[in-house]
Amino acid sequence: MKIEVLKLSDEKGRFLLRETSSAFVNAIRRSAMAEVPKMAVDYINVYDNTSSLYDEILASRIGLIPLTADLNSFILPEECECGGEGCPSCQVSLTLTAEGAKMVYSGDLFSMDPSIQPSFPDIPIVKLADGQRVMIEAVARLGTGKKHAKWQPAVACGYKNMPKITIKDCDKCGKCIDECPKQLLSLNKELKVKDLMECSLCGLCEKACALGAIEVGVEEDAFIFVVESDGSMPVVELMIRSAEELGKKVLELKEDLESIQKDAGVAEIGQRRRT
Amino acid sequence: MELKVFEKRDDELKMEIRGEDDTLLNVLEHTLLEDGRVLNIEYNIQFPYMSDPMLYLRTDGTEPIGVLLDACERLLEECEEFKSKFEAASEKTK
Repeated sequence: MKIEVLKLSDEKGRFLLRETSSAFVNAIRRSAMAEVPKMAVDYINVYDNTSSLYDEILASRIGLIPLTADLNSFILPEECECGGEGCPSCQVSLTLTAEGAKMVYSGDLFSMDPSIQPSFPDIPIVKLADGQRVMIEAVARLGTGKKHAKWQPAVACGYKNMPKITIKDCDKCGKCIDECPKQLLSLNKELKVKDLMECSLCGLCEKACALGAIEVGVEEDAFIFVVESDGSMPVVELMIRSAEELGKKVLELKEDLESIQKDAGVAEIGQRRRT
Repeated sequence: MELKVFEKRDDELKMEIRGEDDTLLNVLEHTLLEDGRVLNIEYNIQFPYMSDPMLYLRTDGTEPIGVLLDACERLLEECEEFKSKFEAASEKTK
């Protein structure tokens, strides 16, 4: 496997993966979206809400606010010693108190744990008129995207095969240049592709060419992987955790298979004894 | 994860992998297909999609669980390789 970073910031990443299979890349993608745990508000206690929004809508809006967290210091409620009831090692509460007239933003959430903060302080929650009040306790827990989209750390995550455009016996008529919706082709003595990675594989240039001189294909074992984080963790951490989560699943399967193999061995010995 | 074996012979294995989905099964299937000892490998998730996948594996006579374990080993290596290569590649851009 060869990995090349094309673009990388905390929010967005674009990578070129070579010598791997679509099955593995897809597993990484699925794992990043559905298996990597992150913090999100799971439920709220409403002490006062005279705003124009119902409690349920507030709960939904607060739940979808991405929270940054030190993930190593928390565990999933299912795996916690408290059995999912809620204790300091699996949940954190945030309070929201505001009185109108004002716009309530995610930055107004006050966290009991300084390591847990909204990733963006400027997400609007509710607009309060003069005299309206909200007083809410929000409880954040770890979860995975499989259960609810609020626990999904990768928001835009996908891949495509590396395009491969072959040109031979071209008569330089230039018809394909006008057809390309991304304007990737140029004719300057020779027909050339400007940015191969931008090609969307639509194949319009192929159809425009009467000679069949241009051919759009893919490299079967090379992939352009695009990922965007919701702000709860940097892209690098997200990708590494995604591979870790996949590895954990495989390891679990391996251990279970080994125990089956052992049990089967015992059963066979037992049968032999009986006969 | 919980495994429930439905059928097990010298060259065949039919089992349910509870609590898993395409994330693990698709890549596992692909890894097993690359193994020359595997004659047939397929899995099916019945409607609704929340159902547990049923895995069916037929080998050329090799112990099927052993073949599965080898596949797991190769997948683990691939995950580790991805992790280390990715770390190295992202270090470079900093």
